Parts: sequence; structure tokens; C-alpha cells
Amino acid sequence: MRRLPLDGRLIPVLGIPLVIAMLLAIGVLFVHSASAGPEDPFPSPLARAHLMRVLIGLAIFGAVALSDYRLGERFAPFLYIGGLGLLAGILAIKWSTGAPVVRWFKFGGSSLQPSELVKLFAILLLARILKNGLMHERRVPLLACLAVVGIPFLMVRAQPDLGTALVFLPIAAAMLWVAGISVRTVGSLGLTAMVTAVFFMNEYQKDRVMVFLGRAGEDAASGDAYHVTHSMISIGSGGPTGKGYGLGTHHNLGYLPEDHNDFIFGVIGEEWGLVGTIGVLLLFLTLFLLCLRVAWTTREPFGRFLVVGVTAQLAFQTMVNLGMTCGLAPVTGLPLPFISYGGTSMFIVMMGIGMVVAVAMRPVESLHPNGLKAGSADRSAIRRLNVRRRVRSLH
Amino acid sequence: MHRRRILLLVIVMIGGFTAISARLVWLQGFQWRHYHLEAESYHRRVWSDPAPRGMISDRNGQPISLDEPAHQIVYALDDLEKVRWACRRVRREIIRDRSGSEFPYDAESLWDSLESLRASLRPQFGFSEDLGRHLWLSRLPSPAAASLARAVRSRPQSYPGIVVLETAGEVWIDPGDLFAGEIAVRKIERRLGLAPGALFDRVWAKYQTVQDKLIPKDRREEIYRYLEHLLVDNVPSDLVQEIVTQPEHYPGLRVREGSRRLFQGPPGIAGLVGRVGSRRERDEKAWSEAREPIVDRMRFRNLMPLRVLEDRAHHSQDLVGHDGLERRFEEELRGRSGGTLWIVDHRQNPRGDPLDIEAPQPGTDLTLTLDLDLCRYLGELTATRDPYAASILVADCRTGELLGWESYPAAVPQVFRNKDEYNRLRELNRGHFFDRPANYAMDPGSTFKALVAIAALEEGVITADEKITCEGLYDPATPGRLRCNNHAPYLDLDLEEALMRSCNVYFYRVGGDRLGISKMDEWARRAGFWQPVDCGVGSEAVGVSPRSSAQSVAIGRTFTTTPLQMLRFTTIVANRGRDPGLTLVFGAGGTPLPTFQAKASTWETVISGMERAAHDPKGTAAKAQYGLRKFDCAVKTGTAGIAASQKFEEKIEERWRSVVHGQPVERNRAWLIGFAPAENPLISFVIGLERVEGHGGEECAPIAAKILEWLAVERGLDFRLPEEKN
Repeated sequence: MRRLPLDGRLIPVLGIPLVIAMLLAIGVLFVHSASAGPEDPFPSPLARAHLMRVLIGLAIFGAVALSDYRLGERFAPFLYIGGLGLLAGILAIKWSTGAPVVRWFKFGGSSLQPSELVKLFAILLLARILKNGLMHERRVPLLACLAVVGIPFLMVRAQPDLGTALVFLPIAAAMLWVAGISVRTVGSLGLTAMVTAVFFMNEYQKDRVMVFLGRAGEDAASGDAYHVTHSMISIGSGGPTGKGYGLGTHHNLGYLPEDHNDFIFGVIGEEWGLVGTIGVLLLFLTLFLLCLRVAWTTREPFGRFLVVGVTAQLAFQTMVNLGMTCGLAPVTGLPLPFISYGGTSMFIVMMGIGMVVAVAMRPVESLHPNGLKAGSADRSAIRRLNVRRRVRSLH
Repeated sequence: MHRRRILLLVIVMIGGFTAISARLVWLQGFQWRHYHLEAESYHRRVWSDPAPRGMISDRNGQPISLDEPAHQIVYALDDLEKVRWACRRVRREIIRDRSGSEFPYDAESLWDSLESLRASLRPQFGFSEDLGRHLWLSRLPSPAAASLARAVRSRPQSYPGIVVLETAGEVWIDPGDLFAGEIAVRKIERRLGLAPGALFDRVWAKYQTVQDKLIPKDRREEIYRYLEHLLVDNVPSDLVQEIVTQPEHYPGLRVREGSRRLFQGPPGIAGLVGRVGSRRERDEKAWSEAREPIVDRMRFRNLMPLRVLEDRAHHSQDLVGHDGLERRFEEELRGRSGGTLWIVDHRQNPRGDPLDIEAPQPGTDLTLTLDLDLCRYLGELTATRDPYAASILVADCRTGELLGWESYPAAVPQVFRNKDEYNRLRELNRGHFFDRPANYAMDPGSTFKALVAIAALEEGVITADEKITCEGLYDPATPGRLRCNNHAPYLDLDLEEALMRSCNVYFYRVGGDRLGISKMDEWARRAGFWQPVDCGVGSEAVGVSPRSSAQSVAIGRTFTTTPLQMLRFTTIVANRGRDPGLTLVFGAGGTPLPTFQAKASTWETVISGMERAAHDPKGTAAKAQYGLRKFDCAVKTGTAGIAASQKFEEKIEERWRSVVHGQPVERNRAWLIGFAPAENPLISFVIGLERVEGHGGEECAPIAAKILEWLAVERGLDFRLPEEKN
């Protein structure tokens, strides 16, 4: 039987946008369901706003996917420093105004959350640092990586936004792991990170952990435990097949807080049931496996680390959100990527996933000395290189 | 190497997603029914409606005890007393971004400062509409002030009366908003003329239960958030109108349609009918054991359909029978609470139309066999005579239906709403709240001789014609004991004469010497002594059977019996042995005793003796001034001296005391049993008076005569002898 001439790139290049489109569509549908009554016409004002953001996000995704991601490598330090500048601006506003929490720059009706940007810039810079691996010279790149992650972590934590700050840790961990860091170092860094996280926790964050551990006091029980309890009721009451789209009573009656945002998975669970939740889970898993497939196949180290970083960020955020809504993780305030209502977060996620697709489309750096060995999927590049070699040999 | 490491990342990711999937399968595949019910139980709430109790009426349809509409003011703690929770929310916001351990606002100090502010303002509550603004907290760190200000702006309903001056770092309160519930309650106290705090202290006591950590959290939440608590019952209509038309002035309070029990009978049957009140612990326990829900506490956790309300549901504001007929017939009288099932949102506001409505079912009406007019007349008779205590019973001796019932003294149940009057009657210690005819057993005196006569004739220890000489005393060796003062001494008496004159010595000889205690006990039990009559009364005493001194027993001493048992005995004699079974409630007939077997001649002899007691000039009840002589009736009188108990005598009013200045004073228990007419009797009656100075005939015969007169005039039952009619 003759094998189909399917290019290995096609699977992630077509698969990732397809999965994302499905997740985004689900997001729009459920933002509408969460924000409108069963008889309200589609789209609700919130769903319309979300749809606009999705369209902008798709445009960003397309633009990034079609551009050369290696520009990111070149400009990573500048972007990173720019991002830190924005974070510093946030802190300056916070300290100058004395406001307890400042996380956004507000321009008229819109806002920008620099911490989301910095996540992506940190990934770019980490990928740039780690692209040569940790095989020969460990200490300097390791310390540089820790600094790249640690500085924004502390700045975001100072906003304060520990949930977002924590995302830096799995990003760094996954990228360092793929770069070849030793298990012992991972262990000691992980332990340090945990102790640091506990030290930096606010009262309410400790309350959330206590709620998760089932040791909540009365005050916390009326807040975060309430969220988790009603999220679980919402998901559980959906049963195997759900109550039907738009017919979720628990969130419609207002028992599920933040149902269009952090707890939107509860709405999906109630209306689509186990079939829907497992379906969404499979979509996410497919997306992340496709992303890691890109990291697996690419021979270009910067792209590989970039993909690993973006995937780690999205996977961590997804798993924490899903775990939170079904009572497996403490309440953190992280939205569900592609589905939750949100602005900056949506754009940055689309930008990140666009870079992954960009890497998938260009898995090999043509001038890389080892780039043409087995495993490369860029047959056209091979052909082009072979032609060049032949030409050189003819000369 | 990086591929292996990426593979490990894949494995970690798949592991994480597998864990989440397993959790989802558990929640949605295995536990979904539980969560479905949990969700529905949050969404559903029943607004319950208490049901009216059934009416108790007499045989002519006159109401005795019935529900009348009454308005109640109720409150939910969640709406009325928000102060502590607002305080907690304030604290939570201002500690959210605290920096450093020197932050001074712990929960208790915040609460104390707010409470001391409230205490200082309290004298103005309910008097002044404009209470101004007052500084509560100052020098708040700016992050805390900003956090609190934002929270107040975004959720003002959670911070009633809290005003944050962000730049100054100050928190002010508007007492009119923050303490609106207390102000409303104190306004009502003033309107009703109650002492300051009379109502709010009750609210506060209820609120303290919410703070009690020993009470399960679910229960506390129920008390705080879901239950409506009664503040005032029987609210005047002008106040009801004000609250309904101006609810903004009474936040947290609601007017609810309720009912109260109105007793319209004479006081003499108040103890018989009994009283109702709010549920008690033992009621709740019984309902819980019988799995009968209290509707307004149901949160449909297990999604019982509203139909469960049928037959089983109670309401926390239901009136419950505490004693008497109200308690005995509780199941019949109590209504079945209704309810309306609503879907509610997270703020407990109903959404859409009600899912189900179950109308309250009023309780079943109860018709007594009593004639209320006769009962009233009996009350008038006793009140005119004003003995220390009295019991009068009248029955239709053919059917056993009780027609007249009087317990004296007595108080209507409305007295329980008047604390001063209630305390006054309690201090009199005369048993105003006690139903005597069924519950007070006492020695029957000579009325018991009728039974001894029947027993003696049936046992053959004496014949109707045998004469026994009465010397005025039983044993000359002990002249102070066992005397007979009922007639002149040294008479030869046969049985009829002995009954007519109520000779003690005759019955000492016949009952004490010839029959003995065991035979008298045996015959008395056949006549229903010391056994409950079970005619439908709520509670009943059975008395104490004789154990010693046959001579005393023969004249009705050393044992006790109730007037109700004496009425049964009288009815049996009137019917020549047949007990129709005394009945108080139509449809709930009493159980008749087996036929009391005796020869016809025995009945004739005994009844003849009783007839002569009423008609013969020497009869104990036959004096012309008694008025009984003109009626065709048969009676037996009885007089039992009251043994003075120093301890008891000190408790009662002086005019009733049998011991005055250390000397015993003659005080009697006067009895009269009888029926009319003597042949084919229609009516049987029992009269018992306590602490009277005269003997049975003297005290009770005039009352019996008046009863028979009343029956002739009011009910056309003319018992007069033919010659009197002419």
C-alpha cells in the first residue's frame, strides 16, 4: 500500500488552529450562556464583547503564525525589558496612589495587563538563553533564567497577583527541564519556590489554601469555599449529558459566582455534562500534545524552548483552572485559556499559540549545522540545502 | 536528550488531565444525583402557610373554641440584624492588604467599637428619624481604606450604612441604615407601649444562638438566613396597616397572617377543652420521631414533593394542643400546613411562577355532646353558690352523651395571655387551671351506699325487708368512732329506709361486717370504679381503691373516685345495669362496661330508696326548701368530712380553711348523685361541692332542683311530678 505523502508539519499547523477555533467557539457560546438568560437572543452584550476580542485574538494569532518567530529571539531582551518597564509603571502607580491593588493600565474604556505580556516576553528571553542548552556551562544560564523569572515574579506579586506570578514557575521549570537541568536542582528549586510562595501569600490566599485543605474558618467558608462548593454543585448537577445549552439553572440563578470568567467550566459542566467536560478536556489535551509534538519534532532549539514555555504556561493555567472548578486545587483566579471572558489574557494566549504554529511551520533553521539530520520534517529545506551543496561542489 | 524530557512533560500533562478527568467522572458520572439534588435544594424554597385548627362546638353548633385571624410580625435575622456581618465584611476588606503585624483591627475590637457606638446611640432609636453620621474608624491605612471603599462601591447592599472617606482614612456610619432593624423593633416597642428592650432583647437572644458554636453550622445558618421568627403576635390593625403601607420604615420586618385560638365557652369547661400554645420540645421530638416535617424549616434538601405536606406537615407557628380536648384530639383538630414552592435565586428572591401550591387544610371540626347553654347555667349556679370547688355533670342516661359539665373554679384560656391575672389565680391555689370532674378524685361519701346496697342484695347478705337497728354508733365500746348522725338514734331500718336516711350504722353492719372489703371492691369495679371512663377527655384520674377498714369503705370513705366515675355509676343504676358508655365527643363514643348484672328486685329496692331520699319527708334531700321534692327523680346524697391538713390549709384563702386558729372547723365534701325521672330515666347527674358547711342534701339538692327546672324550661324536659304539674 502506498503511504500518503502527508507532511509532518500539517498535523500541528492545521490541528492547532482547528482545536483553538473549537475552544474559542465554546468560549463565546458559554460566555453568552453565562451572561444571558435562556431566552435572551445571541449574543449577549458580554458575549459580543468577547466575540470581538476573539476576532482580534485570531487576527493576532494569524499575524504571529505567519511571521518569523525568530524576530522574537532577536528582540527578546528588549521586549523583556520593556515588559519590566510596564510592570514598574504599574508598581509606580500603585505606590503613588496608595491603591491596594493595581494590575492594569487603563486607557479610556480598555485596559492592558502587563503581567500577561511579561509572561510571553520572559518565555522568549528564557528560550534565547536556553537555546544552547545547559550541557557545558550550567551556572550562568541557570542563574540568568532564575533572574528572568524571579524579577517579574516579584513585581507581579507586588501588584499583588500571586496567581499570575505563580505561572512563571512552571514555565521556568518546564523550559529548564527540557534544557537538561538535573533532577536534584529541579527538586531544590521546587522546594525553594514552594517555601517562597507560602512566605509571599496574603491572608486571603492562605484562606483559599485552607479552604482547599478543608480547614477553612467561617469567614473563608462564606467566600472561597462558597465558590468551590457551588462550582462543584454546578458541574456535578450536569450529570452525564448535562441540562442542555442555556438551561443551566445553577448559574442562571446566580449561585455560581464568576461564571463567565474563572468558573466558566462550571457552566460547561452543568449544561453539557460529562460529555462536554471530557470533550473540552480532550480538546485541551490535544492542543497541548500537538504543541509538544512541535517541540518534539523541531530541530531548532529556540523554537523548541519557545514552544515548551508557551505550552507549559497554557497547560498549567488550564489544569489549575479546571482543578479549581472541580475542587482539586485551591482558588487562584486564573482564567481558562481560550474560553474565559478576558482581554489581554486572550490576546497574549493567542500570540503565544501563534508563535507555536509559527515554529511548526518553520521547524528547522536552514543554516543550522545539525539541522538536516534525521528527524527533520522540512523536506523543502533539505532539498534547498542539497541543491546549494551540489552547486558548491560543482564549483 | 530533550526528547526524553519532553516525553516526561507529556506524561506529566496526561497524568494531570487524567486526574481531572477522573474527578469529573466521579462528580458527573457517579455523584451527579447527589449534586443534582443539592442544586435543586438550593433553588427551591417553600413559603409556608399555617393552617387553622378545627373548631370545637357544642351539640347545637355553638362555637366553644375556634381560630380567629390574627396578624403577627415576623423577622428573618439575616434581614434584621446585619451589623455583625457588615462588621466582618469591613474587617475582611481592611485586612486584605495589611502590611505588618501592628495592624490594630482584630475582629473583636472592631465589633466592640461598633457595639459601643450603637449603645451610645440607642437612647435615640425609635425617637428620632435623623440620627446623623458618626465616626467609627479613623486613621485607616490608605490601602485598607481604598479596598474598603471599592468594596462598598461595588456591593453597597453588603455594607448598609457604611460610609468610607477614602482620602481621610475614615469610616463613618449612618445609624439609620446600619441599625435600621433595631430601630424598627424599638419603634414597635414604643407603639405597643412595651418596656424598652422587651422585643429587641428577644431578637438579640435569637441572634446569640447564631453565635453559639455548639449548635451545628447548618442549623445556625438556617436560624440566621432562612427561618422567620415571631416578634409580636396579635398586632393591632393600625400597626399592621402602617407596616404594610410603609415597609421602608420597618426594614427586616414582615406582617404575616396568622391565627389565635379564641375560647368562647364558659369557664367551667375551659379545663375540659384545654388550651393551645406554641410547640414545645416534646412536640418537636414526637414529630421528629414520626418523620413529620416542620414546613417552614424544610429546605427541600432531599427534594420531597410538596405533597408530603398532606397529613404530615407542621408549621413552626402552628398552635398545638397542650392539654384537654385540644391535646386529646390534636390529630383531628390541627390543620395541615400548606406551602408554595418557588424557584429562588441566590438572594432567595423568587423567580417566575410558583412550581407548586399546596393550600393549607383546616383541621377537622369537633362537635361535643355538651349543651353550652346548660354548661353556662351550671357555671352561674356554682358562681352564685361560690363553693371552694365544685364539679357538676349532667348526662343523657339513655345514650351516655354528656350534656352539662362544670368545673369550678376555672379560668378561660385567655388568662394565659395576661400575666398579672394568671399570677393572681395561681397564688389563690384553688385549681383554676384544672378540670375537676375528670381529674380530681375524692371520697364519695354516702353516695357509695347505693352500690353497697346493690352488692349486699345480690350477694344475699341481706334482704330488702331485714331491719337493722341504728343506735347512732357502731360500737358502744368506741363511741367516738363510726357514728351515725344522719337521723335520730334507735331506729329500726330496712334497706330502703337506710338509703333514704343514709344511715351509717346500717351500712357498717351490711357492708363492713357482712360483705367485707373484697366483695365491695369487686362490685365497685363492676360498676366502673377506679377505671378510666374514657369518654373523650384529655386526661383522667382513676382514684385510689380501698385497702382497709371495711366499715369506712361501706360509707364511702378511705378511697377516692372521680365525679365522672360516679356519673357512670349513676347512669348504670338509672339504666338498671346497662352502661351506654359516656360520650363527650360525637363520633368518639366511650366504651361501655359489660352489663352490670343484678336482679330486677334489687334495682327496684335501691331506686325506691333513692326516690324516697328525694320525696320522703325524712329523706336526706327531701326538705321542702331544697326544691327537689317536686321532681320525679331518685337521688343519693353524700357528705364526707375533709381531713384538715395544716400544710395545705396554710396555702389557701382563709375563708376556706378547715383549721382556724389551730381549731378544726367543720368542712364537708357534699355529694349528690341522681337521675330523673325515676322510671325510664332520661337524665343522670352528679354534683360535688368542696369545703362547704352543710351536708350533701342541704348543699347539693337545691342545685339539682335548679338544674331540673332549667331543663324543663329551656329544653322541655319536664320532670315534675304529676301533682306538681297540676
